[in-house]
Amino acid sequence: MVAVCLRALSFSHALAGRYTRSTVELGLTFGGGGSAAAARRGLQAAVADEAALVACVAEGDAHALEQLYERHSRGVYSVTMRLLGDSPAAEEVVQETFLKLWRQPTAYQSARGRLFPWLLSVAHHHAVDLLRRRQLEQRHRMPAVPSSNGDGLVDLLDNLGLSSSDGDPQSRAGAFEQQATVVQALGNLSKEQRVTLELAYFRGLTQLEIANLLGLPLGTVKTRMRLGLQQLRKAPELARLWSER
Amino acid sequence: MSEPATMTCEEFLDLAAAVALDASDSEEVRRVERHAAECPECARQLDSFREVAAVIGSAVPQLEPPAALRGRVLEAARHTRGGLPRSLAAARNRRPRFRFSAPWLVAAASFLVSLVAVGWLAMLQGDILALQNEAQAARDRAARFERLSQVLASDKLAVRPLRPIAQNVPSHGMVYMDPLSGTGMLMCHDLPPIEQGRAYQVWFVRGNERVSGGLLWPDRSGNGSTMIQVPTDVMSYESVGLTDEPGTGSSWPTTPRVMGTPLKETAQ
Repeated sequence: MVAVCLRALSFSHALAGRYTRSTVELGLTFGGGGSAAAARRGLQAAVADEAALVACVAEGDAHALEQLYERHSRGVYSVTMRLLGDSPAAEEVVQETFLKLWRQPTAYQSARGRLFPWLLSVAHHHAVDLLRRRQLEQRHRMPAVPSSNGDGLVDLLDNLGLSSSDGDPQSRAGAFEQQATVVQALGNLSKEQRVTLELAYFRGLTQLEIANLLGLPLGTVKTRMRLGLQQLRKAPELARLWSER
Repeated sequence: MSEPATMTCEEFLDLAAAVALDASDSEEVRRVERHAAECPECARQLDSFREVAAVIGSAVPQLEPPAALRGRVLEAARHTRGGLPRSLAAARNRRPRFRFSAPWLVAAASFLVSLVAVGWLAMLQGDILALQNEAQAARDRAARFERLSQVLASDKLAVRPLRPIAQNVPSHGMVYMDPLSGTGMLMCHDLPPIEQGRAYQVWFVRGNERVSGGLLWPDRSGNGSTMIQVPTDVMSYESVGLTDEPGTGSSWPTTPRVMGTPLKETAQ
């Protein structure tokens, strides 16, 4: 197994030279000038390489964990910082996330999706737990004034500083393309759906809390949340992102 | 406590969306997972929702984690698989019955020697951990130097001096930008002090557009450097500047520019 791990790592180093970090994080190439075939080959190589690294982690290979940390820590840290707002707590969540992969490598099943979304999901879960504990302890104040239609709440796109009407994402610099593409897809949601997703994902609120905050029936919140996710799933600009099932 | 009634696949979808976003309580999570275990199609839908939720997370501006974090994660991983805790546990399990006999005294002496040895090994391990941390920090520094050397060796390297916006402020700095690799470095000296939890954020400015290049945490003297993200079409931007922002970064400048420089050659 050591030999297999060494081969995987050698391949991984070679791969790191060919693909930018942001490309490997989600295993795809957004926009750019490369051909679709090249992008597909890159995606397949990245996925195969990642599976080999995860197998090495399962064998207790710390170098494989280091490789995966190098690829994904930035994305995981950015999300947890966004949720928690302070670096020590975000660092704790990042550490717990990668240690979960280390201690329980079988918790991640490659057949159910790619590693980066799984890592984000684990980190988000930890971060929301922390956020809710804080809210219980401090009666966390919402910075926005609730209203029945979501107006007055901080909107996701405003918060991200990008919007779908803010120019062509393809013209953005390479390092920002991934973020811009996702923001464009979010921009195609209705504001009601977007605000609901933001309150859940970035504020850690439950469906019931969102319904109370917005003065909406719980069923409306559930529907907006489900339709928002389903619409993102169907967004053509994100089509190459999803695992084949 | 009685189990809630089995849910329909339609009900599952509503709850699965909440579970994927961590917007449900633990009971709802259990119900969703129970249903998914029995319904492969719904299980696929739940995985799909989780992937979509992760994509929402990837829309946030990217921040570089502290370099020391990697060392801590790897160290914790090594410690998790290390033998020291198990050895201590085993030593505890080997504790003999209390009897004043020669074999007991020999065993007790051995046990004490073992404890001393374990303590000595723990000290050694502490030293090793410290050395490993130092080695990791050195590797991090080497990696930064390597990235920096790549930036400086670029054919397309653009270098601009940073100047303070306010008069009679001694701040100065330089920004090195490599549009080929999309990276660069920013160095500043004598920056005005900022409050704890805040940072200087680098912005590329083009018309009404503001693109974040990264964050800079200066030391107490106002000096600091950081690797930054550089748009590959950086020379189409008008200027680069620094503003005082929350330590998590902002999506848009919220304070006046502290330092900056024009980017276009003609503007020099």
